[in-house]
Amino acid sequence: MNTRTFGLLLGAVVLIVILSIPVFGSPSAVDITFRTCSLIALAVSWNLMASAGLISLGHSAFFGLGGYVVILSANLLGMPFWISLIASLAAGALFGSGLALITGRLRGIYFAITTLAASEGLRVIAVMLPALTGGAKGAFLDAKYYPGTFTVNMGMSLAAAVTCLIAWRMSQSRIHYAFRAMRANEGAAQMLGIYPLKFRCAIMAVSGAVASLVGGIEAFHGGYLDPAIAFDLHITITSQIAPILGGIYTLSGPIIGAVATVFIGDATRLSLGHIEGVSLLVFGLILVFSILYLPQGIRGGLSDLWRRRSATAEPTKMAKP
Amino acid sequence: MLKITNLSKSFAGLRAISDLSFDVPAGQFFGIIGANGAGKTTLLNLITGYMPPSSGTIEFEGKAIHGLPPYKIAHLGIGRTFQITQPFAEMSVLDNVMTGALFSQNGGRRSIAEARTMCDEPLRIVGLTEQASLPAGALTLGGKKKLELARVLATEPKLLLLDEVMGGLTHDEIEDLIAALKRIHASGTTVVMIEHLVHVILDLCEHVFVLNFGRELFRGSPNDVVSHPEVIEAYLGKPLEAREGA
Repeated sequence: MNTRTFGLLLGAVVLIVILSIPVFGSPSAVDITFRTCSLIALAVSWNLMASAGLISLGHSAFFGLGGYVVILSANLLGMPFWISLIASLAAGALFGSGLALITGRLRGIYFAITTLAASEGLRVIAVMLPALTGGAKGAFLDAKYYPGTFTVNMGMSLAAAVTCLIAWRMSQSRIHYAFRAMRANEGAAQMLGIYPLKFRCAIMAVSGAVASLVGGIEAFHGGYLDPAIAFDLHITITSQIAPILGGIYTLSGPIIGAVATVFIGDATRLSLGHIEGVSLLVFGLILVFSILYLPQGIRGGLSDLWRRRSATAEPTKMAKP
Repeated sequence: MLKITNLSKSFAGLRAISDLSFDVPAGQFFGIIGANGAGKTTLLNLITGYMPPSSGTIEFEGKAIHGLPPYKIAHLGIGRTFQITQPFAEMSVLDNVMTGALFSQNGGRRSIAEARTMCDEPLRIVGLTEQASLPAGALTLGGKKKLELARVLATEPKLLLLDEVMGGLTHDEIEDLIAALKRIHASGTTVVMIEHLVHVILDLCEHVFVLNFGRELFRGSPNDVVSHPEVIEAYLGKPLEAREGA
């Protein structure tokens, strides 16, 4: 079995699992799946931008924007669940491509800092507009718009599934070549006819739409939003820890990383949660050691292991590079 | 085909390019020589849109191209290699070349499979077929120079600008590449070549332009250029025997 069939198989299994658990799973399984799917979608979204050389330190901007769009469009305009999610998708896409236009040719740390500032800016705006957002006190979703637990959970599973499919489709297309070329050297890529701004707008629209959608579903799930929750730095950090832990710039990496992050987080919390602070300390240490010893992420570590095993199992055949 | 008129570029007080005018007719093999810092690479950066000129015009096939961004220049059919190689290090050699085939003027109509087939030829011309699946970052300097050329050939340029493409290659590789460039030129591509290796210029170029401190020093046939006293003084240096004899 080569890595490609393995990847497709893994993808199919993940899709079946995340789409069937909201239907058949126990409440705790449903809860874990919801959180995992949320992180899968965020991680894949973050990784999409990273694979084009755009390191986002502001994914919470999209997340929070989507949350507020959902709460406001439900409370003020009476939009039903699915319509307000489409509104949050559109808002995320607009904000993403707008940010791409504003950041123009900024790269690396300069780009990253701008995204961080965008997130902070939105948080401040949310605090400063209490008439609209409820300000620092926050806003509740009107209970009559809550579509029910099953719909919310299924919505998140679908969001994660569709996000993975989009990322897979992109990895098979010409865009994949442009992204990698831009990540390596945007200047030289231009001489081959690549217009970086076009691809930046496209990828930030997709990435922003996904993260904003996740924020929207999370807002339905929680039923309450304030600026500190919506634009929490924690969202930005977990969105990038998952792909880095799983395998940055790869297709399966963010998914593996999201599952691992939720698993490690839950395991440390359940086993060590009674001693204050220790669970987070252990969680952090595991992350540090994973990154130290698995520089290519879990996915890279697994494929190394795979290669070594097949090399010893079939010594006559050369391991594929 | 390429017409440069009164082109100047200043960086703060420094005039890197000063009032240059020349014309490259279609089908010519045009050489540019000059000492380090003479402005050769700056000139290519101006033509390919990486920098705007301070004054003057650049025309390609009768259309003004100064001020256009590099990707538009590339879409017009101008290809360029970089003196300091710029490979996409994490991508394979083949994927590097395919990127050229996918985003050029006609690249949008090509499927990935078509682009892959199309890259056989450029890879074969430069002699990188064997290394096609290696990551580009793993190539030697010579390999990276060849990759620069293969990648730009995949964009099917009408005008090819080469910035010291021979630098860092072995003697045999240089001979192979000279033969390859002769074939590329024979197939109808106009070539502008910056090169330090005088025997390469003599072998390939029909017309040579000598730059010195951003100004035109001389232009003419390769043989005229190497025997011109001012060019010898400023760039080539006197032959060893002549100096010893003096």
